[in-house]
Amino acid sequence: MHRPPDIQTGAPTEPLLVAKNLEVRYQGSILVLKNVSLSVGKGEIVALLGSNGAGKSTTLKAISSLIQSEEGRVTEGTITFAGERIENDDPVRTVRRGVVQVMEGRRALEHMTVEQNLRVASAVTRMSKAESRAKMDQVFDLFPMLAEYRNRQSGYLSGGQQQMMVIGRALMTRPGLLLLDEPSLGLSPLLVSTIFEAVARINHDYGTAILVVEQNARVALRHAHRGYVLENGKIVLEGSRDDLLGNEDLQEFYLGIGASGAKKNFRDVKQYRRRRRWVG
Amino acid sequence: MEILLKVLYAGITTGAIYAAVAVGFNVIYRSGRVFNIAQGEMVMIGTFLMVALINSGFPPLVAMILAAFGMACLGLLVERIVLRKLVGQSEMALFMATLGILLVLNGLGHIVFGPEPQLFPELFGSGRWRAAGVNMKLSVLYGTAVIILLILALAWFFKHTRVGLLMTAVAENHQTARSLGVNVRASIAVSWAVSGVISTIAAAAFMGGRMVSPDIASIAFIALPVVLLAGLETIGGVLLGGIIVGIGQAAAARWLDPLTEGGASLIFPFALMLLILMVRPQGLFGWKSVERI
Repeated sequence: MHRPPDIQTGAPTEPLLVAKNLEVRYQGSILVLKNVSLSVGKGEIVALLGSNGAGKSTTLKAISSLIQSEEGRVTEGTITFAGERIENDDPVRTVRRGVVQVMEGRRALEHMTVEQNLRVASAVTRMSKAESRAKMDQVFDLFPMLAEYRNRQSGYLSGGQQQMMVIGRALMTRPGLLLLDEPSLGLSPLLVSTIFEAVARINHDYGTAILVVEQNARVALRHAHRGYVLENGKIVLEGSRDDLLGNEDLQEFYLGIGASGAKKNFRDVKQYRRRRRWVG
Repeated sequence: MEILLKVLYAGITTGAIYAAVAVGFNVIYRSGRVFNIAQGEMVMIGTFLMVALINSGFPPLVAMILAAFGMACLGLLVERIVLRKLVGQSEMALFMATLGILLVLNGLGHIVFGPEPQLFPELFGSGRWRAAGVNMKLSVLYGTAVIILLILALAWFFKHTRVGLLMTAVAENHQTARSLGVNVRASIAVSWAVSGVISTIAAAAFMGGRMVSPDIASIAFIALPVVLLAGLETIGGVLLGGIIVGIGQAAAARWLDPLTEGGASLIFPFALMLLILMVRPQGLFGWKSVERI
């Protein structure tokens, strides 16, 4: 896979998205993110790892401003995209700036056909018919299976096909930064590989930066250049892909590999974690 | 044969009126999941606005355009003042809000236009056309044609135009539409304006030559079975729903009313609606969400 040289070393490239000291609250009081800082460089794939409830999806929604429809707000800190402040902005404007989120759980516009789903996204950016058609061809080239089902009602596609469609649909908005929320959720390992290979291709072919939230750390780190680990609303670990893969804690908690190299089962890891919390 | 044709004529032309009101319901429901029970009041105000404009000397076409503009503004106003504040509330809360709008608009209709029936001027002339033994009013035929074209145009608009596609995405799911950069608020506002324009066109198509009073708002209740029969999200489907109800009602009036002292044709739309709801709760063309278990 192609990687810009500076990314290979894990050194940050020219920043595209920078979130500084983010604090996010729901309904003005429920604190979900505390002092979260992260960045995504131009042409980078960055993984945001963490367990359930760590605040990963909230981080993405804070960036895309979709959090506002859940009565959430960035109460402290800043988010800049391409040098412009975007925290608490109108989500419509955020998409027009080039930041688009693929939400968790696929979210097909299920009574519309695959093609109509794609056309909605291109309609938002007011692109010409010719450009829309060219973009659609790019999506079909990336996911040939979608071309076959282009006139099928999207609610009746399989989970994997829907995931391909929603990623393709986000691409139709010409994003500079793609925010992916758990693309592997509920999919077979083979499909997860297909999806992540397509994500890597989007990054490589179009230079689109990608911030991907995943519970499946193994697959996410296979393709990411850098990563962050979020726990209880705080960043607890960050580094290049190789740093993270070499980190013992990460191996233990997210990859299920003990220091001895033997796989630990979930119960052991969980007990260890509790012990560590008590001792720590 | 002649009787059958008469029933078809009566059924299709009244069915088109129902469809015209029903499509106004659906345009609003799709955008914000608001079941606007005040749709009949919108038609009533559109009607009286046109009567007032024509009586003050405007040519009918200009009066219709001005009234359509006025109704679009009224739609926007209702959305802005009442419904925008209620975004995210339950469908029941939104429904109750539209019930409030119904009462206010109804009262306003009585205050501004008075309770007395007024004559809606003939727009398409009073000519008649006799074919295959059926005596047809040309104005009714023109009105029906206008409505059929209007609904087909709306169905095309929602499927094929840029704005229509965005509005359909909003109809599907607000958050998903928002995540793609669709302006959900603007889309809901536009649907209220469009519904206001539809109300005016419905009035212009059918009220010509009739005495109209604020009570014509009750047409919404007869259109209700059409909405539920066709499905709340469909646009083109209301045309077929309207025609099914219209023809069924005309047939019941012709053959069953003599036996039931006029009750059958009144009950028919609602009986049909209940029957369809039992078999297909989403209506004939409504959206059924695809659930994976």
